[in-house]
Amino acid sequence: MKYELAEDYVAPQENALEASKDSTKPQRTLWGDAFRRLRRNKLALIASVWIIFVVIIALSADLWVPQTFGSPTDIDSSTSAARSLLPPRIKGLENLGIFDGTTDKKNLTTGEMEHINVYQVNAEKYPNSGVQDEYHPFGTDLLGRDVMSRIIYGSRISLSVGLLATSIAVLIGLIMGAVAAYYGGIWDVLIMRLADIFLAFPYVLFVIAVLAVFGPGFQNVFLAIGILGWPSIARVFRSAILSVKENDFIDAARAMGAGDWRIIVRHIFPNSVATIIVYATMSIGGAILTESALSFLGMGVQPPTPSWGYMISDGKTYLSTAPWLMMCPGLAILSTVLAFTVLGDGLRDALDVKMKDA
Amino acid sequence: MSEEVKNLNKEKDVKAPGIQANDLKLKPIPEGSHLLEVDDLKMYFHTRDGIVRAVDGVSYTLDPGETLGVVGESGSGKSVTVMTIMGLIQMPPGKIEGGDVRYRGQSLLKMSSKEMEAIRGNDIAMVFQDPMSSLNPVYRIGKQVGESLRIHRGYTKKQAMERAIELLDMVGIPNPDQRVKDYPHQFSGGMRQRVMIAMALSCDPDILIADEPTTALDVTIQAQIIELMKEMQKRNGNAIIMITHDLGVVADMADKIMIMYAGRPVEFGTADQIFYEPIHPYTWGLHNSIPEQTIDEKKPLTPIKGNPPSLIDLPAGCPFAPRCPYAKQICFDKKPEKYTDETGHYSFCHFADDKDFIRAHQPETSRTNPNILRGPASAGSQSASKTATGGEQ
Repeated sequence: MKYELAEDYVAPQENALEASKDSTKPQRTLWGDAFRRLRRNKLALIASVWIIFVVIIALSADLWVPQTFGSPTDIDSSTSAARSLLPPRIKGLENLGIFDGTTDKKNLTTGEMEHINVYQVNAEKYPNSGVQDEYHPFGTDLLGRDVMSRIIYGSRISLSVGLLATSIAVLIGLIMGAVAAYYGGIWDVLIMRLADIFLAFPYVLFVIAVLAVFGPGFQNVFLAIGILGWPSIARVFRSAILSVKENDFIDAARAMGAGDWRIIVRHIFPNSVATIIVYATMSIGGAILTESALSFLGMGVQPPTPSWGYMISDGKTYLSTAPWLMMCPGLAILSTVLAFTVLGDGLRDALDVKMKDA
Repeated sequence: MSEEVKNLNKEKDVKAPGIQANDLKLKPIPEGSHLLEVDDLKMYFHTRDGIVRAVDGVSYTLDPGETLGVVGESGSGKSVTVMTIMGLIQMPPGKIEGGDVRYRGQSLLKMSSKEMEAIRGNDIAMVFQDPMSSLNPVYRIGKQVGESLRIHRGYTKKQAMERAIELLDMVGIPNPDQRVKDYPHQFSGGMRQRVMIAMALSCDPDILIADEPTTALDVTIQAQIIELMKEMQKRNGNAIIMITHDLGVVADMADKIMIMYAGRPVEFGTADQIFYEPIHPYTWGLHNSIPEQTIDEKKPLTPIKGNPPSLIDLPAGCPFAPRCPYAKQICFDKKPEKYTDETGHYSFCHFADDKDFIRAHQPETSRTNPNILRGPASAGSQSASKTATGGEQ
């Protein structure tokens, strides 16, 4: 059999094919793709909007919160009695019969439950306080401080503890995980067994024990949560590196003359960064929760600095008469922690390169 | 390689911007040495199941501009040999049990890891088998091609990018100034292998090691890549170590060929000697198992019967004896000595010096039987091979 080619036959050129799908189309990047996928996930989108909202409010608090709702910490002794335990009252919603400053209160003389507007009652009792014109959307606490103001300032504590503690945990976890996975052998055994020991202690008890030694306070809280939080990150990162390390491009980088440090930082990190981002995002929620628990137990940020956990602890005495004292910071914790978890979940789907769906 | 190319190469090296003064490739090769000498290299892996003799006494030399083909089946130690040269074997479990590797007269095995880093990618570069997974998926092509230059020559990002565009142009990537901004997944397999070659050649290495660079590609692209490597070699004057399990790949490329089996070289010689005067029964087996489409399409393949031995539990005698159709008692009892003829052609076979034995069993080649090339379909096969390389022009 003869294989003759036509006279005018032109061998198809690989180059021609490549050239035809020219570079006029917009560049697609890993992060661009991830952002596009994240945007399609409604739940994650809501969560990230919520987090951005909370962050903006927390950062701009000094500009408008004290003027609008009152100071989160200062107690005006002359009017604190008039403002004590005011229920939520929101301008514009009064006519609808909700958040109008009324609550059920036991009449101390007759012993019967009465539905009263606390703002009016207090205004009659303290004519010069001006309480009848005030609007406290989340009510006030026993000392007459606005709960909204305290929650907004408390978000600063929660967010910064969440971020700082997670950064510390991620930093330590990354180094430990990288050394364990990349060098292996005795390093792997030592570091991972150390992590096991850390994880064997009940986490919150461990943090409390550390804080009992070094004393409570903002700085010690995020240091303790961060330093004790590395083992789980180290584990996750170690397994991520172990799988990236098997790739040919790591061998190729080594064959190119790249040193250990360059391979870890330039080739392994970027390929496992998705795992870390997802895990870190979720850990922020965990750190916020731990901080709240510590403050609830009195081991966290000390009063008068407002902290969500402390506010819940403070309000638990008035659960039946002033439920907003616990409910509002509780909802703040719930929504923020949930937002970080949902965002982390969304990021996991968005950054998963294997989900190449258009 | 001609004297001219050698001189050109040397001149270019010295002038190259950013080249380190202590770069080994600027040093002359000492009198009496070769560019690369692998001397009785032994790399064993100590595993729980026993000692795996992955490389067991490999020797060869390489001169500037030369191409060495290393041929053998999977697990014959071809890759481990070059990985050892590059210092890419994890130790432990790997351990060098003997031998030496000298580059320009200096032992690579005695070098510190810092010194090896300066050599890898700079003086000796490597192209891997699977272009799909050898590029880092998170970096743009331009950045990866320029990385070697940033490591070894201290190029700025901008310089590295400019050079990357030149290199991609050189290996035949269209629109290189646009394609440097692409990610690896936007390239086809053949294109990625071109990128890998551009990366490997970016620092003008003395030696390019290609570890089965065409195995993961389809046949037309294979031919293009081989053509490209030959062209680059002509331009840069680098030596090539070409590892393959396909005799056809090294046929029109290699100057010397080493056939490996079970971690040892079984035969070494010039390409002509291996193709036209093979003296080891394993090489004969390889030749016989090449499909002879040009002679008779219906003729069944003649494989080498059996499987390679386990490298943990090698036979006492010649490792090929259990599969060798001509094995005698001595083959099972005694390891064969190295037989070297006056041209340097060597073989590990008890009967390597037995001319009658060789004449009786050596497969027919176009030289011993001129009719082979004048077969009825030879014209067709030539035009087919033209098609395969046609995409290069």
